Amino acid sequence: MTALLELKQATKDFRGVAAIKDVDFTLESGEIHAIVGENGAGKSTLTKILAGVYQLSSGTMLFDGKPAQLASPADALNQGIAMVFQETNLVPSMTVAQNIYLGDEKMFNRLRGLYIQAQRFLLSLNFYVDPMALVSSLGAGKKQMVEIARAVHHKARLMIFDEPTATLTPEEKFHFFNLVRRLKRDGVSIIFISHALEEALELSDRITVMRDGKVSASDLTKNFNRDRIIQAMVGRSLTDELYSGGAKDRVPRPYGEKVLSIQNLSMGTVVRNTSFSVFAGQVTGLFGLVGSGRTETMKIVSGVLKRDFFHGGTITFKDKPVRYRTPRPAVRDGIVYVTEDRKVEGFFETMSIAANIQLGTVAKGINPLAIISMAEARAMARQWTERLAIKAIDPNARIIELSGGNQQKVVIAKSAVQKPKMIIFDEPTRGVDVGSIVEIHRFINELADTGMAVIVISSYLPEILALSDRILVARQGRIVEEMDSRSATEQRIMYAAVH
Amino acid sequence: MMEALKRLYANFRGFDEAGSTVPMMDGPLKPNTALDESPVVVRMPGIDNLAATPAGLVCSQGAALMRLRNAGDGLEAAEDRTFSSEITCLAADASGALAIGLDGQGIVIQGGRHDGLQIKDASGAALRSPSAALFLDPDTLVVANGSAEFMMADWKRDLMNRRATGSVWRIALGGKGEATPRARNLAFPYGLARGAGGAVLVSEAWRHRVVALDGGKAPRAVLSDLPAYPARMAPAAGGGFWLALFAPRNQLIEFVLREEAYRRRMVSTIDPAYWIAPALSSGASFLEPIQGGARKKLNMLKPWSPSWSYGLVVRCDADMRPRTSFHSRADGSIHGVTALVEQDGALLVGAKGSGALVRLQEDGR
Repeated sequence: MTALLELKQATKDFRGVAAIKDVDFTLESGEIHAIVGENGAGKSTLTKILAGVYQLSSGTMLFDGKPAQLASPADALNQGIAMVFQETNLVPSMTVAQNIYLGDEKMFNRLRGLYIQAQRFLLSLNFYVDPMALVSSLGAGKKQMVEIARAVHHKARLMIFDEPTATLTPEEKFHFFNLVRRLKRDGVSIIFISHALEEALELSDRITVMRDGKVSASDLTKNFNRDRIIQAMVGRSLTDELYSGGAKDRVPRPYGEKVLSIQNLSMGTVVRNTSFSVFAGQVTGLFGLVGSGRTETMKIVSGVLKRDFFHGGTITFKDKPVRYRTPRPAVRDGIVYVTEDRKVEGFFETMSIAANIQLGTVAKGINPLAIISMAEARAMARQWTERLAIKAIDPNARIIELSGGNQQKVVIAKSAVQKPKMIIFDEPTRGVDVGSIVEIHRFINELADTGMAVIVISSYLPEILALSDRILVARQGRIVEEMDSRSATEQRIMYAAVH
Repeated sequence: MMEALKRLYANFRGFDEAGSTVPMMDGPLKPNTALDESPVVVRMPGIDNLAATPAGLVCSQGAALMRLRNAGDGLEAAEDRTFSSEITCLAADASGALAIGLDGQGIVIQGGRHDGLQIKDASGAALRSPSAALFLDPDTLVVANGSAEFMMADWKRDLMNRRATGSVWRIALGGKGEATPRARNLAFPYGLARGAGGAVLVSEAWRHRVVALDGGKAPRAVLSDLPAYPARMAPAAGGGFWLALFAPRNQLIEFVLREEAYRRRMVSTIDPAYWIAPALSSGASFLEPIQGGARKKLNMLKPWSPSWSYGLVVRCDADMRPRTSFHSRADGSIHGVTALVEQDGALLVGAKGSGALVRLQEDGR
């Protein structure tokens, strides 16, 4: 194999702080190359340089043996480099088909033909997405599929996937892996960033581990195992700390007061006559495949979505029937939802950490005429930055400059300042590095220990098993199974989720 | 006022504000078959009102007061005395006194220093349906009067007429049996227990909750939103309480309870055994409202099917929060639990509906 892409002594700094420093990186033709590392390790920066989003501060990049100057993602695409971003960059007001063919339109577009073409193309990838659906109506998993389809459509020679499988169901992951292998057979080189180390080990030919903006290890996959990767990522073994055999060894927290009672809740065909309760002082894990209605159920509870007007069921929070039409009254009553889609719903990316955290208190209902002291906001931000170990230059740093894990911590801090009685975490560690996962898990456990009702929605079974005192499984819009953490196994949960 | 208007509007438009939904049995109330798996120590049709006296266990069977004695692995019952009407509650005191509630006739004290005392009314109000009694001390008795209008045998009528005429009285047995009201307008108080700080806990069946009566304050809910109708309570040896729930709530009953005209017609024209109403036992007659496919599949009774009767005992902590529960589901055979007493580290559960007394270990054995 010959090198398709080479980086030599590559450095990129932001405001004098190096995000990557003296990185040497080589990608062979037809190679699947996994990049792993903690959040803030520089993986996204590295791939964004390759995709033309950022330009190198120093060092050289060779593509096809020639020096490459990529001025923009469009420039990179023209040269055959396509990137599927971690947070989808689709146009929400356009349909799936229009998004796939965006920038590739003909003079006269016949929509029907476009839809038929897109349908065929999506089916050839085994992605079951309606080409006529508006992107804004899709869940995160389906948006990711559209992103991947768009990259494949552009017939790039190098494809970069940033956390491609985070939102996919096991079946969709299977199809995605097959697709990647097919692309490899066609001579396409693949770089993918993943926090799921098993995927990196299963799919890639070579793994590069990054730590603190530098390459800490790079070798053929066959020479790696999970522990060696984690060792290289964090300099210590976190496996035991993170998912130490699920909850088998620990005593589940006892049931506290019944905080939330959902009775026959319905919303269209997404949430169908579901009923369950949530108790204080516990972590209630909510597992389900994409489309099982778990996120929608919790969005209805927290006022983000509205339930059916007729026969929409009953939600009782702290013995009081509630029907929220917006999140604000829910926040005031003590219900907080931490979104799964942090880029769209979680924060204002151009605002500072302090401003974002301060905004959390606004929904709680401060006096609209009150003058906000930015000194107080910064002090609050500093306090949360320390508590959640947010790695940032200072509280004035903009969210956009933070890594995924640190962004997620800001979103969590923004919700936690609202002093909730019940907090709902939707995919709290999606796109988050191993080190941050430990910190986020620790924080979730702390909240439950203080007597708060905590709900964790996750597609990652080890996470559900490690965190939950009680596990609810959703399928086709309703809760179909309840397990206590000691009797739950991955097999039992998955069986309930698919049968 | 606003709530009433909202309810009216919701009824008019046909949407559920807090209508015919019922809470889920999940968490500590997750269904199991623990009651069915527990050994039956004696079978007695109509068994009710268990009490532990210094002379041993007693219970009631219709109008008869029965004594229970060990017989091998089980118990055997022997008649002690028969009264002129059905026994509706029993309460024992360590001094040997036994308070016996009689349907439509108030309370009779047997044994102890007030032997033979009969209390027919409380401050002029007839104790028509004494549903539970509790000795605070040898001279003070707390009595729950389930309904001011109906006798205990007519409890379904009280529910289906949506009455809330129950009351709790504190009766001084010395002197003339003076009664002080502790709470009025309760929706069928059916169980009493002594709570922390001198409070009296009352299970209010038709409001699906347990309230605490502290001094002269208004009843304070300590456990609410129950998926079944609560009945008797008993203190647990390890702290906390046992709570019996005698019948399940279901959506159809909640719906009928909202439908005035339908319910009135049903009450006036149909035999109470076939009402759309909770029951202590069910499945005996083809005339019962829910039949066929709703209950059976391949001729097997579905455990999760809607049922008029159910068996449920809940173990609660000292704050009356459910910790765990023991069930007999729709296809089970220990339904209509109304009586509980703990003895020798085991709980004896009297299922009036199924006419059985089972011995339950706390771990479900």
